[in-house]
Amino acid sequence: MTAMQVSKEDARMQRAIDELSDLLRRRYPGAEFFVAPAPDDAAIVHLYARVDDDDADTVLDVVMDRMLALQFDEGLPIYVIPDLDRWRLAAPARAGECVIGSQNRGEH
Amino acid sequence: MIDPADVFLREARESLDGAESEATDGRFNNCANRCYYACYQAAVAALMQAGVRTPGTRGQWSHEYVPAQFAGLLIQRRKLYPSSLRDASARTRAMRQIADYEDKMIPREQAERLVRRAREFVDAVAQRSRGST
Repeated sequence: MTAMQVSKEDARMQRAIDELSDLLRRRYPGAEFFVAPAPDDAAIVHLYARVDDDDADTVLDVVMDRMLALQFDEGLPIYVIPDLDRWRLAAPARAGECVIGSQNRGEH
Repeated sequence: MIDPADVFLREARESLDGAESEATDGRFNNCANRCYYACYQAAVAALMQAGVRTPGTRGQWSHEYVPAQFAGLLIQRRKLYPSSLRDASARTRAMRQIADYEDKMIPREQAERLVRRAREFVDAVAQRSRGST
């Protein structure tokens, strides 16, 4: 693979990251993003989206159609991973159940 | 001779059974992990049944390749499965990443939704497998 090909792939991936980030920002104006290779497969790019929501499916709904198109039609292995602070363990409630933080993340 | 697709389908069913029992016992992060693998293994079985081969020469079904081919090739292009299944792998993958690699706990409601999604996915592949034999 030549340096030019690598650069072209990187540019396509960066455009995909920007596009998915923009979609999420429209729904969650305070969203923050972090990009990293997937821990289980370095070929996959993860776009971690820190948003103020408590339902990961709602977050994924915003990007799903475009993300699947990028994966199959454009061959870009990119996944959005919702980063939900409300899912941090707050305190044990009773056996087998966790408490989800309920504080409003006003900084977003 | 045992069909490798049947082996993957059996693995998918085992992962799904594990996901269901983990959800029942309140271990929702492990439930999310098993849901992802149930979908991944069922997708591999579906690709094999459809005559799709692994990319390259190493014969490995990568986490990059399998979900994209299932959604893009088997659902979008060949219409072998309902479009309601197209995002199952992406959703279960996201939950599995959170469950396995982050300091977060998957809520019960989300885990139960994942199990329903994984069951629908595995059942669809199993149903098509029975229909093709």
